[in-house]
Amino acid sequence: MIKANQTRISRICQGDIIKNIEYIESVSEKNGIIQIYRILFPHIIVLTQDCDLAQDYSVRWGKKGQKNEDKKILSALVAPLYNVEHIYEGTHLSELGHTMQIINKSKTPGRNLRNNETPRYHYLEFTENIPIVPSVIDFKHYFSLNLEYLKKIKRENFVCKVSEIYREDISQRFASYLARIALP
Amino acid sequence: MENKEYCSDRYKPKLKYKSKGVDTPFFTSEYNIEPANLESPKVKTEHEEIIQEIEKYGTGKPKRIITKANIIHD
Repeated sequence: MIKANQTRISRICQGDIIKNIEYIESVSEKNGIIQIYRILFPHIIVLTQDCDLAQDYSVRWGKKGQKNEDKKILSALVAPLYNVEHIYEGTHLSELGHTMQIINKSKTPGRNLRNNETPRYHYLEFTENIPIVPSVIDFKHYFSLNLEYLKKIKRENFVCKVSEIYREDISQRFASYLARIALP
Repeated sequence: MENKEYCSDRYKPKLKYKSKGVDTPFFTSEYNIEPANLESPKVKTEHEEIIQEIEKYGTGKPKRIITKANIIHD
């Protein structure tokens, strides 16, 4: 069980969980017709470091008269949350046409997942007041989002913010997963 | 709990909504439990409420949206 705060502040914070986020998969043009492929994610969590987000916020939307825009960042790193029941079944991306690996809920792979012993995944269980079912962050599926889009959508779609100690754990595990070295 | 998104186990209608003649231990004569009457207004209403909730909260899976637009040249 993790602690999360439902108080919304206007800037994007590390550990923010936001619902109904659109990710632009691709944009193509053929014979004068533009096709935009988007993926609508039910929930995402912000992974970018909080100090970077705070500094970016003050450059973008803070008081005028900043010396330069050195601290401005281009995008925020996020990762999707999937319903753990769908992860067990391997069906969490079924609507995108992807078949995923089945994870046996009641055997070692399921237990490892819930104990956060599987490097790729981070299991989250929320308190009763947070309207999210037990979920899993898939570190392999991280992507970036425009900060202005995130700030705008946060007004309506903010769900909660994972408390500091838990979000640091998520960041540590994510960094460790990204830095892994494949062994022959 | 009202706003909770439903996990897959919870999508499944309660056992009593299963159709007649389903061969589960709960419906055997040994236990002498009558299967629910699917035509009863109460069962129908409850079943519709479950369906509405699933539709409201979605399946909780990512979806692809494709938008097409014409380019307008000035």
